[in-house]
Amino acid sequence: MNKQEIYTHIEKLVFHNDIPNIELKQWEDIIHVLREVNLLAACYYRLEDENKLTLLPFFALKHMKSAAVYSLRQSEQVTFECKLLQEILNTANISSVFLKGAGYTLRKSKNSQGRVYSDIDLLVAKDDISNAEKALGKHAWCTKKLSEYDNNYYREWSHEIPPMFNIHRGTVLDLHHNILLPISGREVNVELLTKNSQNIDNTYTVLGYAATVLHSIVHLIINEDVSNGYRDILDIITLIEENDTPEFWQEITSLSSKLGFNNELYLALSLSEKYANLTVPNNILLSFEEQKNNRKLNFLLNHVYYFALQPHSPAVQTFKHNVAISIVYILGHLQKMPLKILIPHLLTKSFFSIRDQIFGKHHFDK
Amino acid sequence: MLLDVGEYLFRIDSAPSVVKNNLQLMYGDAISDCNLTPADYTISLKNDSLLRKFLKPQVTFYLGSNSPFKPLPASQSYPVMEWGMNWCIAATDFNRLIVHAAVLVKNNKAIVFPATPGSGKSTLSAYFALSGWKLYSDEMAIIDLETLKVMPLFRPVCLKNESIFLVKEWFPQSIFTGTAKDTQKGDVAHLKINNFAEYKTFSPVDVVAIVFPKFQKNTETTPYKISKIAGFEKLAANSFNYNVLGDAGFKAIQRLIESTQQVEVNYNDLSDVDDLLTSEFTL
Repeated sequence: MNKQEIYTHIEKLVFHNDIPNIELKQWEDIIHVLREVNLLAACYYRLEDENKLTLLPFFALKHMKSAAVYSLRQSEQVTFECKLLQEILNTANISSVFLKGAGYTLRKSKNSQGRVYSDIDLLVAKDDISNAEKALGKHAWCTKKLSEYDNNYYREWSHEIPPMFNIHRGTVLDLHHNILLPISGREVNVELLTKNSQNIDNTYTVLGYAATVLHSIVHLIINEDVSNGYRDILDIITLIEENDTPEFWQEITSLSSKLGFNNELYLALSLSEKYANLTVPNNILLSFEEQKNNRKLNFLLNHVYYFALQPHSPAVQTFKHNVAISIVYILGHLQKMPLKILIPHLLTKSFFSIRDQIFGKHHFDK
Repeated sequence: MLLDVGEYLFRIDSAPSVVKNNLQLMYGDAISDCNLTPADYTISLKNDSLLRKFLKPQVTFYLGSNSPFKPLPASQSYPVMEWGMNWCIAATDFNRLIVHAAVLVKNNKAIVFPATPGSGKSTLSAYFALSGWKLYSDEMAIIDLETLKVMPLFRPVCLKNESIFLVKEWFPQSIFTGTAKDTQKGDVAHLKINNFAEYKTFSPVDVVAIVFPKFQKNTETTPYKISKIAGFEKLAANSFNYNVLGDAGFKAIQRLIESTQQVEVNYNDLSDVDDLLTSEFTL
């Protein structure tokens, strides 16, 4: 199979649960790409839902099943960590909201099935950040040692503190006070975002449904790193499909207007249409008149994001994918930082990158 | 280049020629160029820094486009490849219980030797495998969660430090790779046991005992049974994926402990251990 053929099968399998009609040998490429983008387990659960697992060849089934076992373990671990984190913050009298992956797992939304995590994301009020850090520090949560440059980046410009990790279990925690960098000038009104937050099991708080989807979208679009983009757009599509009600559409469009994310919402919904034929209600489509006529936005949609989010695996990537990813890298940074900060930032980063190319990646590790 | 290790099929995308030569030496006819079955893992060993191609060269192991380890000196290329293959299996196969252990089979009965420190596991593997036992694995016991049978793997034995000299002395005809000096495990060399045709006659078998050997100078070979609880703890502690398998892993270890004997053996002579186990388990 050539790259395009592999990709076409992947897209049908991931978004439409269509099992490719290919020779056994050719499943090697499919499983390889799904592993690269951490979607083996998600495919397992999606196919299980449609009673299609029996249609898979044993080779594909065993790899998906194995990944599903791992993801189940992770989700149990995340639930356990959330419980401990919640207890620590309760004691310190700090209210918090679980975001992204941990939030999906706690609310048991369909996209949490088979999802794998690298960390837990937690939102607290800006004024509570340092108290939260101290309270967590008493319970074996430490801040990762970073280069001085990276540490300053987090402390001065970012919407989160440097990642914390539990010294006993190695779990990584990202503590946020906003969902976007203050320096981007697009800092979000957190009160508005968390207004309809939901309580889970009388213990945890997660964002309201529309805010959850909108946060997923903002996180995907306003980001220089889209290496998990394929999984992220699947999250968004699965979340929408699970709660495709007039109330949801009303809430997400209203929230996105208030927070100023209409372009991002338009991009994500259009991408969902392109990948998965997601049906967006007509009245919602009508409200995007301005975005539809925005040539730059449509260029980004069709020629940049559509390719940049596709699996980051050499087995399917071509020149146009790499160009698209580079454009997103620059755009993502531009959206986050004003030029006078961005240029020195990129120079510093590229200095380290060139240095690592020459000397090897871990030569300067302490 | 495709490498069939029995339960898993590796596609080797790129590797330094010294590694390819060693693979040929260790695996021989298990290597092919075309195969009708899909490979489980696409792996490669690359030199990914410009300067380090020439000065103190290093290699990095990749599964697809991800590298689980930091780069290591190029002189350790072959062990890095072998360890990388171990990692692929241990980090992605959660369909079976995988224990860090050697597995040796006689008379269709398997004995599992978990890799407790000081056990001399690999020396024992090499000695037994070259003395009439079938080597199912030197590094990992792959155990079916339902049948509890242990699967044969086609891999060489990884010997360290003095045991390289010992085995060469005991079995002068044996086939070794060159020795990689100063790795994280000391000096390392790999030893070929079977050819692929012999391996192909091996089939999954039941485990009769879990044996925890302990090498001690100046000791008589003395076996003693250990409690089921201690056996469970030691086996679980040596499992690569017990913590991921959850309930299924707990039950598999429980059933394994109930259906086998667990013995600790202090020894300083491997032929005594061979005799002891052969008579004790009527092998």
